[in-house]
Amino acid sequence: MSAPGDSTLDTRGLLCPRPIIDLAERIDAMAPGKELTVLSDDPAFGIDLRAWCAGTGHELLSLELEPGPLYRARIRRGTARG
Amino acid sequence: MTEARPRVRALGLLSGGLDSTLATALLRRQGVEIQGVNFSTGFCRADHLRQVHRPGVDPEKLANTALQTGAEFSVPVRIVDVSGGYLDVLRHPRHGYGKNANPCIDCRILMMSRARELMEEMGADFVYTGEVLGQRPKSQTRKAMRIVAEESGLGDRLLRPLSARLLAPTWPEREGLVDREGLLALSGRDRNPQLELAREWGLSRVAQPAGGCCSLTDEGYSNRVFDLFAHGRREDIDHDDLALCKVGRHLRVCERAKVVVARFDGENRYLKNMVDRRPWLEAVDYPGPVAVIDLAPGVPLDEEIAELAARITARYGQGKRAERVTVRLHTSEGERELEVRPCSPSECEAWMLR
Repeated sequence: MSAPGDSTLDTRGLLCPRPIIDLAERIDAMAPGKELTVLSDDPAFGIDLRAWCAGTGHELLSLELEPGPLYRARIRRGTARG
Repeated sequence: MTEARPRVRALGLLSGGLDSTLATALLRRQGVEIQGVNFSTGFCRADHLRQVHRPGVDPEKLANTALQTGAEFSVPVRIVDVSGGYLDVLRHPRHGYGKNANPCIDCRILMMSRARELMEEMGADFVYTGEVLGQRPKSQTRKAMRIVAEESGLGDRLLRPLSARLLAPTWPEREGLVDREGLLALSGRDRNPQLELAREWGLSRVAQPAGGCCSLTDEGYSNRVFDLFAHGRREDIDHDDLALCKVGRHLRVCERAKVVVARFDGENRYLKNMVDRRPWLEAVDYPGPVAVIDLAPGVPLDEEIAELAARITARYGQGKRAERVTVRLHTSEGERELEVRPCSPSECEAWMLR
């Protein structure tokens, strides 16, 4: 798992709703405008992440599905809390 | 549409189901600023479906519906894990169980208490839910709804917009933060009025009925939980035990042990992920399920239980009609093989928890 100072949050092996809970906690601890990469092998992480960003106003910069399957997303923190 | 005063802030309990979505839509139409919260209890069936999903399943079918509702209304949704507080509620519900192992009133009190803390933390004016008077027999009676408001400490800061006009005016209604006349007077189990409203308001997605998501309302799941209680596990039951109750066939082979057998590949994966402290088995020469032995506290794995578990494992694999099947037993001390005769269907039926 990732340490708080990293700009990557590795949630591989964790299943819903843990990846989004961990992501929200990490984003809350970041300053607005900072970016974070998130890794997840949760099968519906992509769809959850899109919805979470749409609700919270954090910006989804990229979302890729790599072999594994593994989601790799880049998020820029907005001004709202996660 | 009635406009409430600016900057009225509410914390909404969102399951993503029809009722909480409608309550959110209703308050948004009154101009209320909303923060959503979705409590993760560990008993959500939708979460479990995701955990045992079959490869290739459409991810849309596994989506977290509370987050989808948040996206629909541009409402931030915070998922809060309250599973830690649930064990005591499940063991000793002060207000009893519903039809199954569902301690709905105590569950609502736990959630609303946490919602009250969050409301105070974020400086919101009130909390709302999608509850409908008379919709659920245990937790949505007038009396139960009053108990939940009182015992959670929310009191009249708890608004139920869908039934508000049938209930005593709450603080946000009395203070004019929301327009009581613009709230609804729904009651009972008929969901057609909600479906009609959803259509009228153009809500794009309507999730499963309220209450349908909790494993504790399921008879089979509840029977497994009560079986553990009946075998001396009420006080030391933990989340692993409860997670195990969600998967597979459960065979109570004796007072000291039960055997849990996966039914499909997703359950094989799930069981293998949670076997840290439990012995488990799989057939060697034939494809078949993973099985886990769940022993009572302090009970060692003896040969009688090991052989029974191996015979059951063989029964549910493709070697079920073979004379002898080799089954590998994995324990914390290592692994070994047992050659056994598969159980007959009638033997397994007699042990099966329904």
